[in-house]
Amino acid sequence: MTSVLIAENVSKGFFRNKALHNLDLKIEEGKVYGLLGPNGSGKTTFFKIAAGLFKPTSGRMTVMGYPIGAETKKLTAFMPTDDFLFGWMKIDGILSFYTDMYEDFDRNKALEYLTFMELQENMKVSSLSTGMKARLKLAVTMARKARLYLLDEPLNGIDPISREKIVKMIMGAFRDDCAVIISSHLVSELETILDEVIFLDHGTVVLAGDAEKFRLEKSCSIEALYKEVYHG
Amino acid sequence: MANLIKYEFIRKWRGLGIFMAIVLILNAVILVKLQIGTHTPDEQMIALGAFFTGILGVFFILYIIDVTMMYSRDLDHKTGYMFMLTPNSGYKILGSKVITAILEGLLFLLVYLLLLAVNFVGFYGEPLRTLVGSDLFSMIVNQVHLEGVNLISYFTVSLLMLFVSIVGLFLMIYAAISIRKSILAEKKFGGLISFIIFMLLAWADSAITNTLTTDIFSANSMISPGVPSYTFLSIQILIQVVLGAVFFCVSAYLLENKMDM
Repeated sequence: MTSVLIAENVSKGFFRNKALHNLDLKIEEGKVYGLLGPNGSGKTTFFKIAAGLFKPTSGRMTVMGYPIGAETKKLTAFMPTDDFLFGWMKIDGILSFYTDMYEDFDRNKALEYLTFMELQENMKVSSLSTGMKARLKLAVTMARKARLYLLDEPLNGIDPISREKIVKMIMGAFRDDCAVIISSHLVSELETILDEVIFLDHGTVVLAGDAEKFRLEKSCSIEALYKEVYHG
Repeated sequence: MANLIKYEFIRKWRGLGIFMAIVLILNAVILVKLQIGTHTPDEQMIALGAFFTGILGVFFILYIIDVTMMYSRDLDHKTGYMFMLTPNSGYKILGSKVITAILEGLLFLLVYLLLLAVNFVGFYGEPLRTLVGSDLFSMIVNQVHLEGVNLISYFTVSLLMLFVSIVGLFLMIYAAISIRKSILAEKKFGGLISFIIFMLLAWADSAITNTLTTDIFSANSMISPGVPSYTFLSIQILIQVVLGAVFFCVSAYLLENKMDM
């Protein structure tokens, strides 16, 4: 099975804090990964390094064998938690931006996702609610035919009905030649779609493996395992 | 890179449009006031001259602020991800900003020259011709005595010097911002640090220029008061181009390899 992302001994420090500490990770294609952990465990830092927004203090990360850079940005679709879309643009403008910037962006698919998410092209980004913006971010991210999808807290600030839609959309966009990494606190909502889980704490992997295997071995849900890992 | 430039302009066009509209309205108000008042043609020319001198200063200050913001805003705000996540290297992203800044500067210049032409030729053609033919104008022109200098090539070199100096200025600003956001990212008082770095770079730039022109090439800096020599200008251009390239490479390298967004 092809490794889409490999992290070797990756560390990242901010001031005196270490957000990631000698992290080793291998992400394989054809799987949906859950990157789980409490606030400050290093999930967002990991995503931002993989997306090329942060530079690791030490160690090495590659996507499809390329060191993180312009080449890997062609292969990686990142949905950050931040409100990063241009507020002055209409949704239509955002779609044009993605069409111009990303060769793998499928505008028709994006339109399909927008309809599914109940968003219209003529809506101005700044006028959208937090939930609508999250849905828009996800729609444009998943409309790319990337090899690696990084979804940072895609369910944050989303109502329960929309959460279901988001999960459906992620699964609808999933292909065998890609890998999806999703971070979330809402473990129960994602439980059914995760193939693998990675538990992070203080910037290191404390537990990782096949989600189904964990369920069988520990005879508990991933949510229960989450509580066990972080609360003893 | 063309797409990056395109979206830089799309992002700017509203602000630029508003600014241009304000300038046009101000210009129209001044023209109307001059036309309906009881001013002599000379007074009208002087008033318009003052207006255009002031506007030139405003154009320049706003231009430098806008060009600086184009880079710093992307580094300081999350909307910068829009560009930084695209599959372009730091060199391309910075290069697109530099080209956008140059095109924007040329646009400002074009608008300024058009306004100047429309005002003076369109409304004050006759007084302008009278002024150019006047003894006072001849006297001022005669003051500028450039022996052995081809005026056209001297004028071209002067314009080139102005161009590379302005580009060099914002590349220096970009370098200061890049150093602050990368090597000194974890230090407090980022804005102040950026400004101090900029001042240090400006000092270094000036020291290098002076050393090279005066001490090494022994270029005679002035051929008459306020008029730098052709050689001096040529060396200055070369130095500015080299320093600009260094500033660009340093900034792009830091953006690509050392900066956290």
